[in-house]
Amino acid sequence: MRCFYNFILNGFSNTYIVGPDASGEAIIVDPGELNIKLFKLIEDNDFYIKHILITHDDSPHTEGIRSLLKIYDAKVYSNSGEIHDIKTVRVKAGMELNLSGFKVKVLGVPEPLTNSILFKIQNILFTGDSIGAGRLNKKLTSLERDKLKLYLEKHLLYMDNNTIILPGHGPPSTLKAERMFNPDITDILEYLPAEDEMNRH
Amino acid sequence: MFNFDICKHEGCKSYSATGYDYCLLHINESADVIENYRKTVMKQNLIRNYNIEHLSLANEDLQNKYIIVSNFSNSAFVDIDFSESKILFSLFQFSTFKNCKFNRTIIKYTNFAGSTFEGCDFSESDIVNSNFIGVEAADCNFNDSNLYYTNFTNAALSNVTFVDCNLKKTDFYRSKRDVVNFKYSNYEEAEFERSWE
Repeated sequence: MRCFYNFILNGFSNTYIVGPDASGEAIIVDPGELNIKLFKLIEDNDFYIKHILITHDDSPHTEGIRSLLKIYDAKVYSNSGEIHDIKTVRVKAGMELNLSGFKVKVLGVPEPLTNSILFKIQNILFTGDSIGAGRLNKKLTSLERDKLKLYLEKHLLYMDNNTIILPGHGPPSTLKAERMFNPDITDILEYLPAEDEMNRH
Repeated sequence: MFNFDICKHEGCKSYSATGYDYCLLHINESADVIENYRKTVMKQNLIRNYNIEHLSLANEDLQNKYIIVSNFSNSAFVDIDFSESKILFSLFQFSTFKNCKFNRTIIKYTNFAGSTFEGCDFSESDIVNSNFIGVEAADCNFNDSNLYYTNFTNAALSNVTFVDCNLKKTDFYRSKRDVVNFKYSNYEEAEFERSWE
């Protein structure tokens, strides 16, 4: 599996491409626009975009969909069912998709916290606007904190420490660094299981 | 982007080094491999899509390099000169930097979380939207730098100078600061507390 990163000026956002080691069908995550650099990245690697994953329906993450669909016969996957009048395959937390040989797990963040869903492919977590490097993107009320805590305990605490976080904006990170230093996460965790325990799951 | 294959050594959770099935800790004759990497890094100006965790480099001149989308986490850098280099969307987490120079560097979307800096000089640099959460920095200098939206949350800073810096949206939440100098910098625009607390 190969993964490529492209910076998008629209909203200073990140777009990612996941493709096979050789040429073939590929996945694009959050296309904020289709610029020349991104197009070259796709074509130079002999990828054909077959799947467009949208973490959330927001312009810096979706503006490239129309252009991509003019070039590639791709399906769009989101949790909203429709983006820019384009019907999408509605995905929900807990679903597991098999997209051109890639196993994609769909994870959900509680609604009041963010409208993002997360996609996990192998040990890469595409977090959209939910978890960035060192911070969450939204101020939390106490209710939202409780919901986030439940979510983290259920879905994130038991992933491997070396899980790579690729957010919709800003630098990449690892789950280990976020668990240790992201105050928005450490504050709401009542306990941190030992590393052995986390890695068993 | 750098590869995401895990080292094949039983129980190891590190990512395998680019071109190998194992990480540097578990490659046989790793000294030869490190030497090959050293030669490659010295020869090439563009260091792209490399995954070399647990690298150890000392006394090297890495000026004017373009390091992009690479992973050098858990590494040790001693007396390395990164001056005038561009470092973009890379990981240097849980690494050690001793007496390294980062003068006039451009560092964007790069993550140094959990790293240790001792006697490092970042002066006259553009360090934008990068991550220094949980770092320990002693005797370091960020003078005359642009640190827009860079995050020092939970950092322990001792004898660190930020003289005449742009600190707009620079985050120092819960950082421990012992003899830290913000002279001539717009520290009023930095964040030291969360606004909703």
